[in-house]
Formats: sequence, structure tokens, C-alpha cells
Amino acid sequence: MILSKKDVDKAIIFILFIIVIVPPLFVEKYALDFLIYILSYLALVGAWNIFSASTGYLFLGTSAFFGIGGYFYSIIQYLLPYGLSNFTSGIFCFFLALSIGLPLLRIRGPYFVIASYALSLLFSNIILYYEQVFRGTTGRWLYIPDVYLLYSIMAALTISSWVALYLLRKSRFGYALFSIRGDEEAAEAIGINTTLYKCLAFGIAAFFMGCVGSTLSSLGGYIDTSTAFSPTISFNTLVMGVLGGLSLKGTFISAIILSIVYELFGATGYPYPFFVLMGVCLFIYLLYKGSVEELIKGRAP
Amino acid sequence: MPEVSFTFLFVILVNGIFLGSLYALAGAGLSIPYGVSSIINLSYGDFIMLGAYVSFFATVIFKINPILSMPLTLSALGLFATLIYYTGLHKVLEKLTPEERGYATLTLTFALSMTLPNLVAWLYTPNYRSYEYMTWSLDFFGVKITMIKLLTILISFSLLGALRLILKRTLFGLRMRCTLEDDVAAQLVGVNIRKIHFSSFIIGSMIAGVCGCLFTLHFYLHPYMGVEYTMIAFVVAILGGLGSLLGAMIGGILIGFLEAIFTCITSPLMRIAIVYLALIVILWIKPRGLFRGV
Repeated sequence: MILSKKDVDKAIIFILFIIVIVPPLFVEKYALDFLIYILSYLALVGAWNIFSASTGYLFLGTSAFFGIGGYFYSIIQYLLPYGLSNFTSGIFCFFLALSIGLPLLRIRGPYFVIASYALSLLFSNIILYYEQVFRGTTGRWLYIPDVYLLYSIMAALTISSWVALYLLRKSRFGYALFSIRGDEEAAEAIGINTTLYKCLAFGIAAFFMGCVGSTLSSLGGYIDTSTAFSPTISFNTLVMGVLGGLSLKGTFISAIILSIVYELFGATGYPYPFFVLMGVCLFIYLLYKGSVEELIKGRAP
Repeated sequence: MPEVSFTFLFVILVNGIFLGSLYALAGAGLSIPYGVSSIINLSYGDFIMLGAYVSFFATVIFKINPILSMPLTLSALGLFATLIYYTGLHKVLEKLTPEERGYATLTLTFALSMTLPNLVAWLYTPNYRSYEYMTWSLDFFGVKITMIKLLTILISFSLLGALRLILKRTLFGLRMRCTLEDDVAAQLVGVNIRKIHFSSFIIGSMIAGVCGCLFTLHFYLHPYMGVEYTMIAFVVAILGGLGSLLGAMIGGILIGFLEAIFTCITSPLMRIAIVYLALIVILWIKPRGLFRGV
């Protein structure tokens, strides 16, 4: 029997699935934390891909919805049971993204990159202002759930964001988004409601980002604006997405490798040599591999 | 909200012009390379940071007057930008069309913005630094204004004026404006656009160096200050329309006044939110900024 490429892919997906499901049974708590971080980045990159890779709008504001999800969770954490409150913060982010998307998605190209970064700074500063002026504190305590429960929720989120991404690529909706990346005016001319599709994709991405934000914030038991709206989250997500080209496989691999590398070296007390090396490698890679060009030229993955 | 008086308005006016002049200069340095050769420099703030460190070393270690150290900063940044340009950017600029260059340079300079601050932090600790210079003040109608503030306003406006003269009155400026309007047509009439791309990037980086020098006179410096200034410069340049010098000046003054006003009447926290809110609202109304052209 000769295995076709599709069979190999299926086998790899199955093995990955097992790797995600099995660890809680025997792994230590730190290793589980480590896995949660990797899964959270995977989910974020999946969500980022749903919007940015399909429409060609480079979104640099992942931490905006990450942080809003975390803060909304801190408000409703005692009103609803644990998993449901995360889901609700995701829903809140979905509607927030729909309402923001209307003005924000009019902006294109490099302007959008900066405007989306401005979005996360805007949210962070408004919340910081509110907290300091009206509550007198800058952070909030969160309920810390059992780490196994948290892990299973994160795993479910990651799997569902990647399944959503996969389904999107196969659907009418996905093709409409690809046509927006190709040429927005042309897409409009052949009768695609570009505003609706863009806003919906933006909302779905924001939903997953909000869910991940609320879940990951409760791991630490504490949230404040400098960690929840940290620009590192936005930048890391963008880099992972861009480095992976646009294909699902490439993004998946780059997200796993980069998140492991970040977690192992970036979180130490003396990360400077590591980041310098990382930046130089990225520079050389971008220059010679040119995965960026694939993104620009709009080749369908 | 404090009581509105003459002094209050005068303080807002001076601070607005002061911040505005600095931001206008920073915005112009980002805007010109974008307009002329579609370079989106995400590491612009880190260039400012490097300029600030060069001027800091010159002042504190080699005891050079900070104003006189400005040519030194300028040439150091020029050399550094030449190095960066010939390691990678020139390839991107020659191979790709203007629309594609935007994303390519954005990701490349993002890699740079990851390297530079960490390199400085690695070599010279991530501690906050600052120094004092010309802190004595003049008295205007009961408001004390430090001499260095006035000097900064003077320097940045004269530099902006000189830049405008170069762009409008010289043959070199004419070539730059031609390249801005149409790459291919400029080549057809005999403009060496490689040279123009190179010089636009160098001019932008040199302005970043001067900005760094002027920023150290008023604010503290640390390796990670770049992100903040990149964002401010982008907001200013985008408000005015990327590529427009006049737009950068007006955007800079606008942002400077917004900051000065909201620092006084609400809190320093709210001022950042207001600046970005202004950015999003203006882009919503005019998705390509306020002005077009040089």
C-alpha cells in the first residue's frame, strides 16, 4: 500500500490530536503550563489567519481583543460558570469587532497596520484611565481554575479555531475573502458584499482572540493593562503568521517553533542575545526566502 | 478641569508648539522615505533611539555640547542607514513594485526593530538614562519657559524649513518629487531613481538622528523607547498623508496641541487615548490622510 500525501497529512493530524489529548493524564503542572502557552499562540495565529491571511489586511492589534477578552472576563467571572464566561467574553469581542470593523476596515494597506496597532493602544489607555480614576487600582484579581480544566478549554479553543480556519478555506465565504485580497474593487464589482464579509471575518477572529485572552489571563490569576494589552502578543502573532507564508501547514509549523523558542528563551532574565539573534535570523530569512512576496502577490494557498 | 486663565492658555500654546515641532520633525523623517520610495520604516523609533544614545555618549562621556554633537549624530545615523540600506533594503527597492515594497520593507524593518533595542540593551544595559542641559528659564508674562524648549522649537522649525526649501527649490528636490509622482516616468526622463531611493532613506534616518538628539534634551532615554516614537511618528505622518512634508508639519502641530490640551484638562493617560482616537477618526473620514504630494 502506498500512502498518498493526503493520508500522511491525516496521520499527522491524528498524531497531533493524540498529543493534545493525552498529556493531562500524566504530565506535571509546569509542562502543562508550557503546553497551554503553545496552544494559546496556535489559537491566536489561527484566528489571525482567519482574518488577515484571507483578506490581506495585516492586523497588528491582536492584543486589543486579547486584553478586552481578559477584562470582560474579569467583570463577569463570578456571574457565570468558568467555561461559559470565557465563551461570553469571546462573544462580546465578536460584537465589539463588528461595530469597530465598519469604520476601521475602510482603511487599507500600511494605514490599516498602524490603525490596528493604535486600536490596542486606545483600548489599553482607556481602560487604564478608567481603572485609575474611578477604581483607584490598576489591576484585577481573577479566579484561578483547575489547570486541567483550563488546559482542556484551551485545547478545545485551539482545535476549533483551526477547524474554523480549515472550513473557511473550503467555503464560499472563504473564496469571497480571497477575492477581497486579490482586488477589492473587482470583488465589489462582481457582487460580493465586501464590507459584510470583511466585518464577519474580523468578528470571528476577534471571537477567538477574546476567548484565548480570557482563558490565558485566568492562568496567572491577575490582569493589568500592561500584560493584557502587551504589544508583544500582537507582534508575535503577526510574525508567526507572516513567516508561515499563507499555507495552513507553514503557519502551523512556524507558530509551534516560534512559541516554543519564545517560551524557552524569551522568558528568561537575560533575553537580549536571544532576541538579537532572532531579529537577525528573521531579517536574513525574509530577505532570501521571500515568504512576504507570496503574501503580497496574493497566490492562493 | 482647571480654571481657564491667560497663563493656562499660554502654557498650552507653548507646550503645543514645542511638542508639535518635535513631532512634525519626527513625522517628516518617516513621511519622506515613504512618499518617495514606499519604505515603511517600522524601526524608525529605534533609529531615533540610536541617535539619542549617540548624543548621550557624546555629551556625557566625551563632554561635547549636545547642540554641537548634532552633526556627529547626523553622520553616525547616516552611516548606519547606509549599512542597513546596502545589506538588504536596496534589493527590495529594485526588485519590487511600489505597492509590494510597502509590506516587504515593513516586515524587514520589523526584524530590525527587534534587533536594535535588544542589541543596545545587551551592550549597554536597559537602564533609564538622562542628562541636564540649559535648564535655566526665561520669564514670559509670569510663565517660566526653559531656554532649551525655545531652542528646540527654533532648531526643528528651521530644519523643516530647510527641508522644504530643498524639496521645492533645488534640482535634487525636483528629482525627488518626480520619483514620488511616478517611478517609471522619472526614470524615462533620466532620473537615477536608485540614487533617489538611497538618499530619501538616508535623509529620513538623519532626521531620526536629529530627533533623537532633541528628545534626549527633554526626556529620558532607554533601549525600548523606540516603539513609542515609531507610533507617534506614524500617527503624525499618516494624519498628514504619507509622503507629504506639509502634512507632517500640520499633523505634528495638531497632535502636539491635542497632547498639550488633554494633558492639562484630563490626565496624561487620557492624552494617548485621544491621540489614537484622533488617528482612527481622521482615517475613517479620509482613509489616506489629510494631504497628498510633497
